[in-house]
Amino acid sequence: MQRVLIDEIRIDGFRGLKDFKMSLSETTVLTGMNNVGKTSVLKALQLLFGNSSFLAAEDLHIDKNDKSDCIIVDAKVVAIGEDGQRVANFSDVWEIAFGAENIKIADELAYVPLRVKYTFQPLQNAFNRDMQVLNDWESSGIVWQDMKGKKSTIKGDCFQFHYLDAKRDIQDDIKSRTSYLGKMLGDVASNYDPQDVAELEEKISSLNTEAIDKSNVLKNIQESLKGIDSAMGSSGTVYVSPFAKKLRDLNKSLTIHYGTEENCFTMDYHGMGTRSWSSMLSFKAFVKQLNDSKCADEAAFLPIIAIEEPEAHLHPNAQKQLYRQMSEMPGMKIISTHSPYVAACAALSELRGLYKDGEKTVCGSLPIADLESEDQRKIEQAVLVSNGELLFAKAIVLGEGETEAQALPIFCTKHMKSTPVELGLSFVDAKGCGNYYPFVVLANAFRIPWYIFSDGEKETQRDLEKLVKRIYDGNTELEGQENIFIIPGEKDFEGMLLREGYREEIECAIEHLKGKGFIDNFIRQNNHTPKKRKKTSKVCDKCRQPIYEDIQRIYDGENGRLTALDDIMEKNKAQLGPILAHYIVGSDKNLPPLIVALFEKIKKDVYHV
Amino acid sequence: MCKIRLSSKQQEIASLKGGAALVRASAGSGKTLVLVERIKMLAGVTRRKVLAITFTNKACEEIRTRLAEADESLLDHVFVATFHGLCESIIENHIAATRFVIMPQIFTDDDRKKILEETIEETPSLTQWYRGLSEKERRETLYRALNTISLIKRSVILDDELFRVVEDEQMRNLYLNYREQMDSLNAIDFDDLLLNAYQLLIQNPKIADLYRRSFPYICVDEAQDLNKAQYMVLRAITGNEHKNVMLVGDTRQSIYAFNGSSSEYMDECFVKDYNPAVYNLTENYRSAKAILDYAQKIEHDEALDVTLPYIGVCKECVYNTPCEEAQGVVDDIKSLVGTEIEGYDGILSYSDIAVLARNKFVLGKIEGQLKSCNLPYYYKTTGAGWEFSSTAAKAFDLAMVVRANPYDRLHLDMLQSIVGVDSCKTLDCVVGKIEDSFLKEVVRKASLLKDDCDNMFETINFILNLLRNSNAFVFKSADEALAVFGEFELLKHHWVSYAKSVTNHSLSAFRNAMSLGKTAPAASEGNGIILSTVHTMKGQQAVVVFLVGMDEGTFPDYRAIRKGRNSVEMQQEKNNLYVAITRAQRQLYICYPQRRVMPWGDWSARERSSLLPPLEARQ
Repeated sequence: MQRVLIDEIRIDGFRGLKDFKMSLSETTVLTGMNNVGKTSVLKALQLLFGNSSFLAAEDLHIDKNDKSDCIIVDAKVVAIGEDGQRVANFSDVWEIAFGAENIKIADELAYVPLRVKYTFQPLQNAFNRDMQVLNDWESSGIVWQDMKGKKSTIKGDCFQFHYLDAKRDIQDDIKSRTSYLGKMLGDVASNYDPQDVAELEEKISSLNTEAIDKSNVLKNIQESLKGIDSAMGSSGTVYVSPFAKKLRDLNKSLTIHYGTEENCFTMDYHGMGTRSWSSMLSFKAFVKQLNDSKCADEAAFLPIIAIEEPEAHLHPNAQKQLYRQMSEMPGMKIISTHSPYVAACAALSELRGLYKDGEKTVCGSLPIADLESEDQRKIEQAVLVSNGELLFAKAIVLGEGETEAQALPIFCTKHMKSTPVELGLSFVDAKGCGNYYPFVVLANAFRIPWYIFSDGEKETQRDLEKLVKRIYDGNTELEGQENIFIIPGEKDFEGMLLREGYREEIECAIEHLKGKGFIDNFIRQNNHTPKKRKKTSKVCDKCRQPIYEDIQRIYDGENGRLTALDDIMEKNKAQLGPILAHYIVGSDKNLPPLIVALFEKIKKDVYHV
Repeated sequence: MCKIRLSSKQQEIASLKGGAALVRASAGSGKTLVLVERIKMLAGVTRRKVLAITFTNKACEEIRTRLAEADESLLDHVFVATFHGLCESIIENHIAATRFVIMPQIFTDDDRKKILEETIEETPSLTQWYRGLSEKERRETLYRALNTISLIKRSVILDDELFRVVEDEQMRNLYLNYREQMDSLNAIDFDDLLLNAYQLLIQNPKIADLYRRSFPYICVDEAQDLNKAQYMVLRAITGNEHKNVMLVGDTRQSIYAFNGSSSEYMDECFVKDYNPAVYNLTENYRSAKAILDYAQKIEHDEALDVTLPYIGVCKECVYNTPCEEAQGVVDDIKSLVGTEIEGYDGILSYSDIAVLARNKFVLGKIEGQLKSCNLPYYYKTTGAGWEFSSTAAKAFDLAMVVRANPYDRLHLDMLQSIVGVDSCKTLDCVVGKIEDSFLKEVVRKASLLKDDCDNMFETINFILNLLRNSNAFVFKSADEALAVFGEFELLKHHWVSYAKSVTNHSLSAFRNAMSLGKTAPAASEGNGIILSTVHTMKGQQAVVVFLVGMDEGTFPDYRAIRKGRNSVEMQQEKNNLYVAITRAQRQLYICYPQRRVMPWGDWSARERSSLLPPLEARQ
């Protein structure tokens, strides 16, 4: 069946949100710092599709300049096909539900621009609710808040909003008739075949008799209560029923157990994690049942499910399973989370990051359309490697290889006197100086400050120039980029360390890794042996091919030893990085100035010190 | 009409499901009944909507009422509208696909005339030419220009054809400048509704598709009076694939050719474009035999099937003068009312009687006579065209128009001139300048009306209360106070009937609904003897009909005679007469005066209408 999707929302005048726009996918994972407005986004959807009973004057947006007097929430409903891509027309069911008068067409594609407007009435201290269908989603020359529309004639039952807040507890759900579980259980008796009801109740009745007969305590109670009979003089009889007599009362004594065969406890004995998780899963069952019944009737129906911090109280391994369980629910899911594990499971196109731009809350998302699939794969890989932490980073430092990714965190701990984990700093191995672009796009999308710590070779610098041109649409030069740190003197990371006077630490690190005397041996064995062949300007007279010459390794004297160290480090980059960093950090020498500059810059930008 | 079993012919048509169909239904054949039955059936089977198009708001109302009587929920699956109503809703719902930013205001004929005058004043070449005309020529020119503009639009004449079709250069200029002027005010006229809806559907095939799917069945009543613009809108909605279209009409009742209508859209275009199955409804359930026999002599119908067992009355009378004619008719009325007549249950009352004439002026003498005898009567109107006469109600109405459409400086100027201020660019400025405290309050209140009309009811009530608590000296006379009160009460009626009919209120839509006559309160229908022209009596009937002024030159109209015996105009006159005769259910009296007084005071002899059957053929 063809489906619909709310592909864009706009919110104005609600809590911290002003002129706020955000795109949605069928599942949307919303990240952002505390207080940035994630819950407000979910609540705004409730204002449009659900009830507004929570609304109070305090929900009106206030900023320095003025106070809003109305709240606007817009949603654009579009038709999508099996593949989730937009299609031109709504299916019959949806077209009938909306009616031709409410369906608008732009660029040959049908959509319905919904708006709810709450206007505050100071005298009554209440809000007027006005549901509209806009004439158009956007129009040049008109700010979106001023778009005109007509009162909506769409019947309310095609959208159903559900809000799962962070304080979920299956124990409460079982007790409450208004919880999703309570609603389902309340309906359970009517789903039985009447004959089954009779049979089951017959069985329960004999079970009750047996339970009482075999228990002195229950027998005693029943006997004593017979006193009521004589006192009232009526024809009523007292029954003690250890098990619910009628199937319709099934929900009253229902318990849920969890555990192994032998070792099984009811939910009250479990921790909040299990209880919260079960609550969400019982909700999933509820939505599925509802959706199945609506689909059977061929009714237009779109559940809109807002889930707040589904990870609450859960072990990381459980958190990793949450995403799939939620994304399998029918309808639209908007999930706010602080869990890197949940975020890491989502597709890149489903991620939304809220951040503050000055006073304003803004929603960032990856410009998927601008990224090639190879770039997307690189980001996905890096997100997975970081267990999702990358998406929550306060700043990202990009290096071209493993050495940087491993050594820089160690230097960081020394210089900043806190670990990168504490600081929220992510160090990413871009795997080559030409591969920074996707990471920069990611960082920019979610407004994460980013830094590059790069080797200084000419080729590397050319790649950086290309990168800067690409990011800033050719309007900016590499020179003057304060967040890009390039090792001077066309050196690489190791070359820099050698030059900055860490020869002692380098030799220690090499011998630590390769054993004592390794350096001397290396020099002895390889001195004056050919290292590689180099193309010359001469050409062979016979075959017209260029002539190559051997280049010798010269490890003589003091300078020769430095060359040898450089060659050894080149060969053992990956293993050497962290060991070397530890030796340098362990010495009382200062850190290399460029590294100090990097961390000072981060301190200033991100931590404001 | 009481509940009647459908005849087998009627039943066959009422049970038609898909496919294109053309139903030729002669007068009195029960076509409305058949149409309603079919709509009922279709509305019950479709999950979408049946589109039912009729020609008057009253007919829309009648269909809705009959459907609601059967089953209220059927209305969810029917969209009943006039062509204008349909087009207005299409434009309003898809305003973003038009050149308008906000829903344009519909200008009525009075507004159009003002626009035209303004156009002439602002175009130097036109001004000079216009000034050279005599007073009478000017009046005629305006009238002709308005008609030409309408015809251009109704005939969907595009700009590149304009030169070829409209020969008069001044008329072409007037048309183009008029259009520009209307655009600058964000205003449209009735004809623009059709034209703009047509363009919208043609330029946005997806929107046309949407409506095509929304209305799987389409029924059009009175199809003999379709004009080109209406037919094009129908074509645009159905495209080539949608064939479930039923047209119902009667070529002999085609009487709106002067408006650009023609039965050829039904008889030829529809047949060619949709290849419909053709059905004939020839049974007559309305008129007595004598009346039908008479009608047969006007337009012979082979297939006519007289079903009623009543003989009825059909009589011609000749009077000496129009005064005597009026006297005679009124005397006849007096003697008929209160008696029992054949084929009619109960006693004849005034409201069972209609006096028809080709033109309204002929009815003046009858009205005078009725008045002097103190008999109840009223003029039948088409519903459209209300007018406020008191300054306060006019000011409120104009302020409301300007409030809905800030581009409308025409009505802003009109408002300023009636409240006695000038050189204002905004409503607030007008409010600030008005001296009269009551008028000031009325206009101020109108300026505070909300787009969604949430405060309309309370605003009108506020003004009514203000009037209740006012002193007589605020007004020039007690009569004026009464008039103001009555007119705001009337406005309240308009509002209530609008507010009930739609869930979606908007100020501009309300004003447009008033202009389209959708909100005319039923009470304005009046009680007593109906005085009506043939055209406004279309689709209706009366037990006893007096057809007066049947002298040559009056009916047929002298202008038609000038066009020649075989002209379209003369055929239309014949149709007019046919329509007039077939309005009568039981008794028909046809009369004319032998002399009429000319404007210059001389008496002129009049002949019996040449449209009537030859005298010797009678008996």
